[in-house]
Amino acid sequence: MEYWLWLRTIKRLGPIIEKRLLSVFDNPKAIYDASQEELKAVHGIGNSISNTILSNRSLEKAYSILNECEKHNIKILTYNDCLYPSISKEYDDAPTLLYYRGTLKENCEGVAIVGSRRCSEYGKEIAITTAEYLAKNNIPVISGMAKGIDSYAHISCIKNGGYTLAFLGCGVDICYPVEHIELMEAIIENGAVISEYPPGSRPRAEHFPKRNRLISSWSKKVLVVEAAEKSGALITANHTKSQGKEVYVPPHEIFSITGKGTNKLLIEGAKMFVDPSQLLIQSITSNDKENIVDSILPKVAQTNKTLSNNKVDLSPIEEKIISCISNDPKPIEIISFETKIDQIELIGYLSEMELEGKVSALAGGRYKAS
Amino acid sequence: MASIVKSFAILGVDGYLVDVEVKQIEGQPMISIVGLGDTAVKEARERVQAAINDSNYTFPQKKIVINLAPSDLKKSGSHFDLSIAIGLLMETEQIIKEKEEEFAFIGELSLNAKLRACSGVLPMIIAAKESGIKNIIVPLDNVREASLVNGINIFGFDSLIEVVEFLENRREYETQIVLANGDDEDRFKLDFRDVQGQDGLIEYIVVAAAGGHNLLMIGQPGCGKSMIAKRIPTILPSMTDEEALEVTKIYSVAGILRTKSGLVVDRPFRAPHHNASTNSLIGGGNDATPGEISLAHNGVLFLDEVAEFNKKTLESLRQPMEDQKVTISRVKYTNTYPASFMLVAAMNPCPCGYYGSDKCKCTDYEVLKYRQKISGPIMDRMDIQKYVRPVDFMNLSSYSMGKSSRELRERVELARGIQKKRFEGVEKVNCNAQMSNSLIKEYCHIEAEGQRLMELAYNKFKYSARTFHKYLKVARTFADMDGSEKLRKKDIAATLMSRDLEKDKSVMAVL
Repeated sequence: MEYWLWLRTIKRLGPIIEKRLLSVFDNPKAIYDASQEELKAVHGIGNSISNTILSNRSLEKAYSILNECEKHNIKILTYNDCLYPSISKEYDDAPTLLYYRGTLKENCEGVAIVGSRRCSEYGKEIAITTAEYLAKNNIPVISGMAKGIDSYAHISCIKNGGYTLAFLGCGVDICYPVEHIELMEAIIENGAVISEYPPGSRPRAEHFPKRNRLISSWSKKVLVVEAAEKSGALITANHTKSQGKEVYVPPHEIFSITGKGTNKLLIEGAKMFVDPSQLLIQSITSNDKENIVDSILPKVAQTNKTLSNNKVDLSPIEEKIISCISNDPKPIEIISFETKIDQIELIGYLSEMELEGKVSALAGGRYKAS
Repeated sequence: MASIVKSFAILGVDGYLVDVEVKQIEGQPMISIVGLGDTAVKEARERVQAAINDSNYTFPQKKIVINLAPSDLKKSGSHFDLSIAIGLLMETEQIIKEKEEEFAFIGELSLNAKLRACSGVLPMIIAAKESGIKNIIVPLDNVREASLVNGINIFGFDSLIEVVEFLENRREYETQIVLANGDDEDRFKLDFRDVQGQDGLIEYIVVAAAGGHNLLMIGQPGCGKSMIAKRIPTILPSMTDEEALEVTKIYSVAGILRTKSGLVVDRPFRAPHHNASTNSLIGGGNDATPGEISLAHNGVLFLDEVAEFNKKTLESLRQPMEDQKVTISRVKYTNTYPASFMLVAAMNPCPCGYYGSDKCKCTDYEVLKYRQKISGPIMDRMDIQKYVRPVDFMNLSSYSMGKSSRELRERVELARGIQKKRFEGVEKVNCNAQMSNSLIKEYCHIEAEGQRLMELAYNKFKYSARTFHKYLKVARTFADMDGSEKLRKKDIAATLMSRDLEKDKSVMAVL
């Protein structure tokens, strides 16, 4: 293991050269022991790189990283590990070594859900319902544990008993953003947080595009929920496209700023996302078709129907209130204004209706018909 | 034999009797004041010397020792001037006291022998009454404050000469006309009538005021949180004489009464800025002076932008809120001040301030982190947490006029009356918010229909027993507002809507 780490710590080597070396030499130890001539025999390695390798022949750094890993219970996934998913090996720049906390499963490739940090309610809802659907169909949800869409995807997946992977732009011992500490622990318990950066690496802007590439290379399909014109989610989308995988994008209002980037992706030929079942991975669909949980969207329409059939339950006043908030969530003051029901009385009705499940409270004290 | 004159000193919010002993001894001319006085006391010698000369008396060319007994208690303030001057004149036999009654003296002297008002007069007069002194001479400007105590003769004078002439029976005392406090309804310039379109919210505020519940208002910038908070004192029942005296005593000690000079009749409303230090809030300083929580005693302490307060400062409120008093210990003094206040706090719902509207792009974890700036124990003490919604300005004209503060106050007074009766004989409990668990069990009986709602809520939100009790307390107040003995369905329904922040958490996408 220390030789794998040693190989990664040599400054001038990238994944491509590393893999070339690994294909010639059996294992990193052989590279460590190789003479300059042996090294130079490898295609693309000249004097300067072989000198760098020779002059860096010290395991000190590797041992200190290993120490850190042990301290924080960090595991190391090497390129030849059977847990290293084959789909991600297809790309030249797949790192030879990854750090992770949690548990990796064999074939843990899944579907990525990515999007902006500053997202709309609409985007949030897509992320949550889609991740729920994937979790129920046993498809791993992959994302980046960032604020916004990423975190909602992870949370919804975990809440529904799914398996989720998070790729970080910093060491796996660091929680970024800090408020996600509980989320990070939950991900470790229900999946893994993965990073190519050694423990202790700070989150730096240049880390994130590479992290985005990892997200797309570990995924079968990528859903870009929401992205402004310039955003990390678009980078992921571009990587996905260049890797020849399908990018799914939900349509956004043409005036919405947070949807500008995603709408552009649609113009450029991304698949229009209208139903989570689109994200099912082919191989699974054919194997156990019966186990597939129904798509959520039609179900929503159904419940709306049953609700309208069940109107017998509602008193005239309740009906009035429901019809006021059936489309848009509204705060008490507005409901009172529109229905002309006294605010104080309305509070009483809403309280009871909420408990009976006729309406539900939303963020910021707004109410919506269930 | 030394001449002895009575005066007073302050310890905390209470006064105590001090004997000012003056003795002239043969020796180098000098004056020394002993008895643990602070700088203000020591400097009295310069003022007294100037004042005596100015009044055409002679300052003795001998050694003069002045002792403030009891000599082992620290004393501060400039109000000993008058007693020292009178003592000196008596000792040097420049005045012959004709009046037979015993007098006590309070007052600071100016260099041309005028009497200046000083702080802490009210507690001193109370101490005088308790120690059996019948007659007190005070500066004219303090007469109003001093006359708050009944059964004691207050004489207000303007200068040292007047006092001396009065003592020598050369001058008749003319009763000063003390203006009574105008007991008018327009005392408050603010009125809840100005708050429009917020009837639902105001209902909860009235309940908070009626049951002594602490209140947290959450709303975006400019939605009217402060406007509402400033009007809360207008719906609190007027203070009893006892309460007013308590407040006045604190204000007197804090030295902020001098300008008002009279009984504090309005319930205090204190709104310290969020930059306030722990000491300014709790009390402290060299002399262990009262802080904002004591100045808000029997009134409202309003913490605007409560999330911006120093966390430690907020935490320090916990104990005084529980005990309704606070003890400040400093090197020189240890004082206990009352601090029974209604806490009203206001904050934004999230870092950007617009949570719940499309404008807000804060993530749920960010919102949670922002709210965690207020610790659990403090949040726990906020019985009522309500959103304040900005009123649509364009529609302002279509909202009906709100209820006036007077109407609301009547309801509050009714509910407070019921509580007063209920908690008669129960120590330290004056209102529903202070009920202990056993009291809750005794007084909070829910009607069957209400019980059904409570159970639904319990199953839906998985409330802890603690939260359950909190709801019961608020429901008790809702019922009291209508004079109902049992907690009705209506009370429970309204109560279950009283903690908006808690509800938010259940709809957030967090783990």
